[in-house]
Amino acid sequence: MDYSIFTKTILAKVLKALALINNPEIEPAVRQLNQEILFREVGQSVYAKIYEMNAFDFEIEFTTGAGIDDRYYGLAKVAGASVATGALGLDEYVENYIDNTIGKAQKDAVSNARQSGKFPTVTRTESSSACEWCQSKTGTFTDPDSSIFARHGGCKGKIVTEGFKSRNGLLGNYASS
Amino acid sequence: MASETQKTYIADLATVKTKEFKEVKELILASGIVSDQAEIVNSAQSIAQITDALTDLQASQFIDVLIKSKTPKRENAYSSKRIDKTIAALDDIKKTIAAWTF
Repeated sequence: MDYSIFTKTILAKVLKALALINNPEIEPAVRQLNQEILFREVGQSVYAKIYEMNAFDFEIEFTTGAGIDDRYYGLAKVAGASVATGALGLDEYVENYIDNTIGKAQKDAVSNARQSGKFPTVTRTESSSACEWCQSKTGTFTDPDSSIFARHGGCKGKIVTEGFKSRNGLLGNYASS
Repeated sequence: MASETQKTYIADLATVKTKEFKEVKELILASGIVSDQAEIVNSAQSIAQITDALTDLQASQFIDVLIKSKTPKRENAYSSKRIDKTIAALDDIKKTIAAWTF
C-alpha cells in the first residue's frame, strides 16, 4: 500500500492548527514552542499508525518502531517565523514532513520485519517531474537502504510496502482503532 | 550578493523585530536601501525572495535597520479561546489518523 495517500486527509487540518498557533501578537519563541508541540504530536500519531498498519501487514504486530526523528524542530522554527518572513512554500514543507514521517514508519517496519524473518517488498515509483535524486530511488526492493524511503519536497512518488497479508488478500481483517 | 549568514540573520531579526511580513517590506522600502529593487520587494512572498536580491552591502545596511528598529510588544500566552480551538484541531487530526485503514 502507498501510505502517503493519507497525507491529504490531515494536511488542511494541520495547516489550520499551525495558523491558530501563529498569532502575531504572541512572542516568536512561544509560537515556535507550540509549533514544536503540534508537529511532534502529529508526527508521533502518524508514525505510530503507519508503523502499526505495516506491522499488521508484515505479521510483526508484537514490535514497535524507533519513533520519529527531530526534524520537527526545524519545521517549527520555519512555521513560527513565517508570520514575519512569509509563508511561501510552508504548506509544501508540512506535506513533506508528514510524507517523510510516513516513510520513516515504513522503513522501520520493513527493517524490523527482516529482523523477524519476514520479507516484505518495497516498490517506489516517481513521476517524470520528480527530481533526479528521487527518480534514482525507483525500483522494487526486498532489502532496501534507508534512502529509498526519503523524499524531497514536491516529489510525490509512491512508496508501496507489501507484506504477507497484502500478498494474500488478508488486509480486510485489519481493525482500525 | 548577500551571504547565507546575512540571510539567516535577517530572517531571525525580522522574526523578532516585526509582527507581519508586510512590516518587513515597509521597513526595507522606507529605509531606501533597495530603491532599484522596490518591485522585487513589493511582489515578494517570502523574506528569502528579498534577501536573494540584496548585495552584501545592502544586507548589512538592512541588518543595521532591523537592529535599530523597536521590538514590538507581544504577549507570552494565548487566549483560552485560541487554546481551546487549537486543542480541538489537534484532536480532530488525531481522530482522522486513528481512522486510517486499508
